[in-house]
Amino acid sequence: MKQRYKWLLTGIVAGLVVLILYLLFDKVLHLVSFSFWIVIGTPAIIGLFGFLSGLFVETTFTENISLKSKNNNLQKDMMDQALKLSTDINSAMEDLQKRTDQLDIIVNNINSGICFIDKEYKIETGYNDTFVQIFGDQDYQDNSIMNSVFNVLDNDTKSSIADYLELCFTNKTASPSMLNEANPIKEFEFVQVVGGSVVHTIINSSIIIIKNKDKEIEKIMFVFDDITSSNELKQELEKRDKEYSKRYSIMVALFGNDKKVIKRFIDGLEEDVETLSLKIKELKQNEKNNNTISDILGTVHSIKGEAFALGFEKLSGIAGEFETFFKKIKDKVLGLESNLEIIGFFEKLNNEKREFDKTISTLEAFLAVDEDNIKNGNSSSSGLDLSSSVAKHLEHENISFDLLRKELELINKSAAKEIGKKSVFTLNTSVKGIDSKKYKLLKELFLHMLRNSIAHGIELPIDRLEAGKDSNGNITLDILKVDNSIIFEYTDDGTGFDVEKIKKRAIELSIVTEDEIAKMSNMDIIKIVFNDGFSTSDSTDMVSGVGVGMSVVKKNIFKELKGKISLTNRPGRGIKIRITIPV
Amino acid sequence: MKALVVDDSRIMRNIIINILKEKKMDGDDIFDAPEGKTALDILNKENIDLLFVDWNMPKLNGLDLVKIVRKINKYKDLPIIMVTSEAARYNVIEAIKAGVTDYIVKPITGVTIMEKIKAYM
Repeated sequence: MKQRYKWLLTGIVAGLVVLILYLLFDKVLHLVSFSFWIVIGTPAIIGLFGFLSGLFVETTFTENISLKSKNNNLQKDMMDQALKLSTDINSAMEDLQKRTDQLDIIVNNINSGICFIDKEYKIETGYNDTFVQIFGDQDYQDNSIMNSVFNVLDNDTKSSIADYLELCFTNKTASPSMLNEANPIKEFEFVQVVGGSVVHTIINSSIIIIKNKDKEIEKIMFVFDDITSSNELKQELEKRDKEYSKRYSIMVALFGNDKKVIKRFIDGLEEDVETLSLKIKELKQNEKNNNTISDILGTVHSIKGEAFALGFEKLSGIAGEFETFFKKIKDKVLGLESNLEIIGFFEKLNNEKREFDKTISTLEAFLAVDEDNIKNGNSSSSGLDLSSSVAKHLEHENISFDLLRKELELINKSAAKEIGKKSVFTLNTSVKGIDSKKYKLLKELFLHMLRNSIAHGIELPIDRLEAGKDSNGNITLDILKVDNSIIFEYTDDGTGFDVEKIKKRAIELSIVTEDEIAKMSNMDIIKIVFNDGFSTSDSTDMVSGVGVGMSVVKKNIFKELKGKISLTNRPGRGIKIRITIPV
Repeated sequence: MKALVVDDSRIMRNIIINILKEKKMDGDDIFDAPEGKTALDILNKENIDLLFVDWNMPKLNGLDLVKIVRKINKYKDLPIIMVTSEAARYNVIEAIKAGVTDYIVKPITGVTIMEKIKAYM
């Protein structure tokens, strides 16, 4: 029941009580005529007051009570909501953790080192395991990438990286591929000390620009790959490639020449190397011995020229380097203490020879298989029997002058081609051959004569035509036997010895004084050409040497072969040299 | 979609134009200019969506043209492809700084052009 009615009832009861008390005391005093209003009015008025009071109580107190219950409801709702929220947060957290784990798995299983840098180039948290593996274990977070990862690089590289990063953070127009194209450290070497030893790593890097919602560049992701091993593999392949091409060029040279010529050359090379090491020992004992130096230079010069003529370019180059080096020793620019150069030369020479042997044995194996297949019993004559000959000592073997023809023809061809001249070499012989020791000396001296003829005697084709000659120069060597001697008659149809030029050069080189030369006959002046150290050219090339060529001729004839030489000079028409050696 | 090809060599312009036509671009939408000034006139008159610029041009060179184009408000985001024979790194940086979007190294073929421009078409 509502409060107002309770209070109304209380008011009515109170009014009745007042009325009864009134009636009890004033019944006698008043007439019945008042009694209607009093009987009805008093309870009514007091009841009305009670109603109003009840109404008042109702509105104040009951409101309080309903507010309380409302509050209770609200708290309950909130509790419910909070509970729900915490469950949601929990599941969201779980979800997030799951995602983070997944991301970790992905990032750490990428074989590239990954890190993110902000606008201040600071490395953010979240660089992966591979990143640490590549650059070493340390705390990178919040460190500038310039001062941590790139710290070991040189200053130039560092400043270009800084420029590049600035460009990456500011540029908005370039495509990602173009930006990566400009990366100054697409490939760089990273050096670090691991467990006391220095480790070099070749690293490849690329960048990915990361933008935020507003398309503004927020960070840069660096991706690093350790390409050391793939690089090594690449280098290994390149090395092998080079080796193959080297062997290929040797093979071409082997196939491109007469096998007997090659055989002689390789045999000779072995002898030459022996001679060289002996002579160098000699020279160390007596550094001032100019003859020894000339011998060395002569041998090296022949190796250079012959190798070049046969197509062994590498060997020719090695000999050329050594020739230049020994020229410096001869001219006292260098002392013999530069021992390393000499050791290096022999090493290179041996390597090259080993390369020959390897190639030759490969070829022999290849040819042997071929022979087995065609069942040709005569293997020694059809095979390319080269390497066995290297080991064989050839001291007393008789060598045919046919071989000399072939060898000198080769030299003629390559030397003429080298300097743009044309010359034909002819060798006529009525003598079959000579023992190998003499053969070697003869070959060496004719080689130098031939080169000199081509370099200084034979004119350029146009000059020859102008002089009324055939455009081809002609060089001949006739060999005949008279009693106990062999005569070698060597002619060329070039310009002949230029006496004035020899005079001038001899004075320049201080071989003779002007006074001395004035008293000399033309023939004596020409003989200066055979002096050690005389050369009319200033440069060392494949054809002309360093001024030892003709001195080798003289030495070989007189000292080694105990022979004689006579010389005819026909200015403008050529030279004739007759060499007589006893047999 | 409208494209503009700027190159002082008529042959180079034709090569690019033909490749674009092959890629189903309407011939009327392909403009070309032999030098910078004509190019700027076209750029101001038309709304170009793709620009090819040769690096080496007499008078106004490619890079300077790109710098001017980037200052025109409507071309702030225009894809600009530089056609160049020099691919050295320092050149790339120069090009990026000028506002070039991408570059093609000569000799150009349909494949190289398409590879570069498919992102912008």
